[in-house]
Amino acid sequence: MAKNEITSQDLKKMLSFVAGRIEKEEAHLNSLDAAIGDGDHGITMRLGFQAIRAKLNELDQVSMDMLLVESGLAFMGATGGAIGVVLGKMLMAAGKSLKGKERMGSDEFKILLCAMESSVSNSGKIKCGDKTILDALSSACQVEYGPDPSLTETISAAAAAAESGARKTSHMVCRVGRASRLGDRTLGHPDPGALSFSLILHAMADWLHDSDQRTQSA
Amino acid sequence: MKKLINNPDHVAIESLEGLVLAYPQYLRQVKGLQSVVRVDSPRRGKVAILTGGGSGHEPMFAGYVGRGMADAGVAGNVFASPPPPPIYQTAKVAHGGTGILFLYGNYSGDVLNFDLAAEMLHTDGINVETVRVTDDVASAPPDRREERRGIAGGFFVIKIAGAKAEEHATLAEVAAAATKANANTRTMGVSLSSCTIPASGHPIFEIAENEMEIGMGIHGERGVSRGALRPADNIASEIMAQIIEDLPVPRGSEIAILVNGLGATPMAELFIVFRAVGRLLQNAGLTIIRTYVGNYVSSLDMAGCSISLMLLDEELKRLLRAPAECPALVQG
Repeated sequence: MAKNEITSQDLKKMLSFVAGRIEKEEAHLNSLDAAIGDGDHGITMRLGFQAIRAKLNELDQVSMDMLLVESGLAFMGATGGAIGVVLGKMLMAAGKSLKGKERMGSDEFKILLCAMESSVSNSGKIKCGDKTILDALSSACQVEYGPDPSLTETISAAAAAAESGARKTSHMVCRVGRASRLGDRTLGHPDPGALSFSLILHAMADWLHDSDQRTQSA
Repeated sequence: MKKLINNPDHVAIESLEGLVLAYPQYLRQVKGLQSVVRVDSPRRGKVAILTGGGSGHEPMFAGYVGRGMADAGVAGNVFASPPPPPIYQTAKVAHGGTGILFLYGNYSGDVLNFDLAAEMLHTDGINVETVRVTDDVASAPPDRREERRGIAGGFFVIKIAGAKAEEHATLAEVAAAATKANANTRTMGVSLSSCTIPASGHPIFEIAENEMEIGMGIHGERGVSRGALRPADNIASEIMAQIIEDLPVPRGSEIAILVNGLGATPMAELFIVFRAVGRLLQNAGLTIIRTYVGNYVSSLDMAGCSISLMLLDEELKRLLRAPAECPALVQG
């Protein structure tokens, strides 16, 4: 049976797993960014997730919402740049959506995704189609799920949708950020931030799959 | 890639620590942060000017912290804006009770991070004004001038705002002087090579051995034209033509000029470029009040240069000539 809920202890392990995955993708993300930017997106993501991992190690017995808020602050503080503010605020918004919750299941995760989307779109500076992380995030928010999906199914579906949204950014011309100065030169290349977001969701889904298997064999 | 570094992740902080160690008479590091303030900060009753941005543009930004210039400089990682917390904390250290001017180049990462820091300071009851430098002619057409990015002309804007603040002007007056300096400044550059971010180890874009790109941004953003390398005199006259078309300068005007190296161009070449620029301006009947030639705003190890022109009025002329003492500029 698929696992339906996770606790703050699980979330902590999951975030550490995600951090490890992002660190391994550094060179890949750098090469994606080199096509349309200055080739350092992988470095930025690694620095940000190393900071998250360090922060998680300091935190003990912390609620789910604070785990994510602290992760967002750590990410923002370690990276800077546009992605620091945008992904940092997304993580903080994700945390706030879980305030008072002791567990996260499918419903909580869907609300969390919407909260992250609002944190980006409410700034008024980024719209869908601008070739940013928002294009992956909105695709994830628009997934239609089957009846009563498990958390694992929900995150897996969101990850697939985010990846497809990220791939579609290849057909977009960058309209915000430093890459926008390259105009049409950005065509044919996906937005690295959007792909990073789909990588994060995929890593979460993979961790849940493994965790489900551990539960079954136990 | 051959670099004089220890660890690619520590380039920004170790470079800043070296600057502080070299110039303790002008500035000090803010404890625990990748930022500096004037050695005598906070100056009570004086508007504090805070500048900052990604590292890799040395001596911009921390090198312009000192008397008659900026009060604080916050450094991000290489080519990445600093995050809000160090901007906020550094501003608190530099604040002399009469408000803070944020002065930085117009890039979306910087805007997001500095705006967030400004919100945090407003919450504490501290007045913050922001002036974004938009001097790069190549980055957007004249009708979208507010979208232009900031490059070497930021040096002039810091010089003017710093001198104005030294006269104990109000925050509004300092911001107005900075806004005027920005409005009167135009820059265009030419790149002959790419540059390499130490942590990635690869050039950030490709350009052929015999090619140049006029108008390219300091992070490799597309310029106005790419073509075969031409003699320095031709490049200088093309750049000056673009600048003057964008900012008409009547005969008899007084101006300031900066011929800025991007990091890997010898001083000899910069003077060859200035020789052409100076002659062109003399022939156009313009009076150069002050000339700056050197590496003022670099782009790691990029080869090439930029030319900045600031049109002066009486106030800008007075402020430009005012004394300044910081690591990257000493003038009496």
